[in-house]
Amino acid sequence: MSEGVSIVGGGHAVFGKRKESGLRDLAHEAVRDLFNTTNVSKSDIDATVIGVAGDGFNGQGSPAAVINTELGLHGLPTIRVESACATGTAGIISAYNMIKSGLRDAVLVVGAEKMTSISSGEATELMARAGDLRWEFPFGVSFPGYYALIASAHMAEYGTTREILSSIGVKNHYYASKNKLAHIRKEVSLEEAMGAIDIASPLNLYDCSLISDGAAAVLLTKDSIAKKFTDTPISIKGIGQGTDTMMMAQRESLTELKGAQRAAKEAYAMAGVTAADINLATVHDCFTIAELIAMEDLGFYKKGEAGQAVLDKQTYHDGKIPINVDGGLKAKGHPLGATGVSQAVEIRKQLLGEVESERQVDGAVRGLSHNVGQSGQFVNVLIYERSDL
Amino acid sequence: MSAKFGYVSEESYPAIAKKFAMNIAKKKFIGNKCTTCDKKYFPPRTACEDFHETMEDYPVNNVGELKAWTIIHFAPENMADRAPYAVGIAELEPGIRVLAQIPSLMQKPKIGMKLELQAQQVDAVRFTYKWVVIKD
Repeated sequence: MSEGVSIVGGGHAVFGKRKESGLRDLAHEAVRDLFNTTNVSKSDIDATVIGVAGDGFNGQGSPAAVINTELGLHGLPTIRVESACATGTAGIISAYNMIKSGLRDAVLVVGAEKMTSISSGEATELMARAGDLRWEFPFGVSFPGYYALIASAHMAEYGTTREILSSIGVKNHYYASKNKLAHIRKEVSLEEAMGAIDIASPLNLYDCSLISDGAAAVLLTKDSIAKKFTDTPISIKGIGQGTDTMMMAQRESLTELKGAQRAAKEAYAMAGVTAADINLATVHDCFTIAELIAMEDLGFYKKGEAGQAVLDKQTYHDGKIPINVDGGLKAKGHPLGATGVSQAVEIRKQLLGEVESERQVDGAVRGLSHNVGQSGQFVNVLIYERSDL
Repeated sequence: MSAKFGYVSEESYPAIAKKFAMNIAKKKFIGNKCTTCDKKYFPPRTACEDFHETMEDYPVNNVGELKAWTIIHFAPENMADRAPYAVGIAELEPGIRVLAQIPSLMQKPKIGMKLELQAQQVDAVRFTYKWVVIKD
């Protein structure tokens, strides 16, 4: 069997409404952070994989080329990947494949998105177009609307309450307030979160992730050269992927993402572990209900039992299974193409004990990331592990 | 006559969507069915997902039960002047679920409530269907 693949460095731009920075500037900021914090130089890179989810947010066609040039890596092979909001992990999986096949030794993955150049109404329309354009977009279903449909079904079936959903938002805002890379570093109270204005009921403002600008980068290499760049490579132990129907109406179930269940099963099998072996997770909380069903789809909790675990604060950094202790998409922010790469950067730092002390998970050696495109049309689950211990 | 489907749309109009909208204009809800494997589709598909050759019309029953709902308050830009509006997914028969607006409903919808699919003319060329709550 060919050798494994490791992450040897990570970089991260500050997420937020970055008025003064364009797509290329954000990407450059993330890669600069990678170079500044790792023993890597440009000449070590064989190829780049660049993930940008949308073309409509800033009007730049072929965004990979502009980013590759901004990084001064023009001349090297590059490809662009797109899997909606799962673009970032699609990039990591593509780089993994390039290395695993023997084609390349070291591949830089950059995920970036510039979303705030257009109004939030326009951004809402752009994201609604990622619903079925022929049969569901014509009814005006927004992206929050798709997850609101799931929330209504989960509430009816399992008694999930407004308080459970808002408690997820409260947790994620709390951790974003401790994360210097986060978009909104402000805590919210349960009362504020429960009483916020409706966006797509049953979901309100504090159930919804942010429209953010941002970028993140990781360098992947084959294991045999990883130690050249760092004493502490993070090994990619498991990869799983799953999908579901384009139309929400055609889903077999409206209280779970079948694609996430399949992806988790594959990733656990490849890594040779179970949900109980995971020390922390970053899950795709584009909406609070998405975090709740992820807890169930990933096997951390049985169907219908995640809600009580949320109320018991089992997903805080010192709880049974810490989830999104970086603030999540909810409050760290959700620059679409950057999100999956940002999850990897966060897990790497957590495993190395390098995050802010108020949110550091003690002794974590294995982390999972769950990255969802649209409302489950793409799901990627990755399992990362410290390989030096 | 030509007809378009839905409140708003972007896709240029393929024959199957035109025909579907024209049927709605005549108050008919017609999906299709694969003549080989009997798999049913609503809205219709140009061809069966299992790649069999021929399809035939399949008119659906128009009474369903609500499975999921949302009320869109902050709408996509091109629907902003219609917000807020309720959207529901209801099941007409096993395997056939339909997403549509529930225009008459602004109270909190109830999962399991009975709904009837009715044709709605949006403007001169635009047709869609909507869910109407059936009174007990």
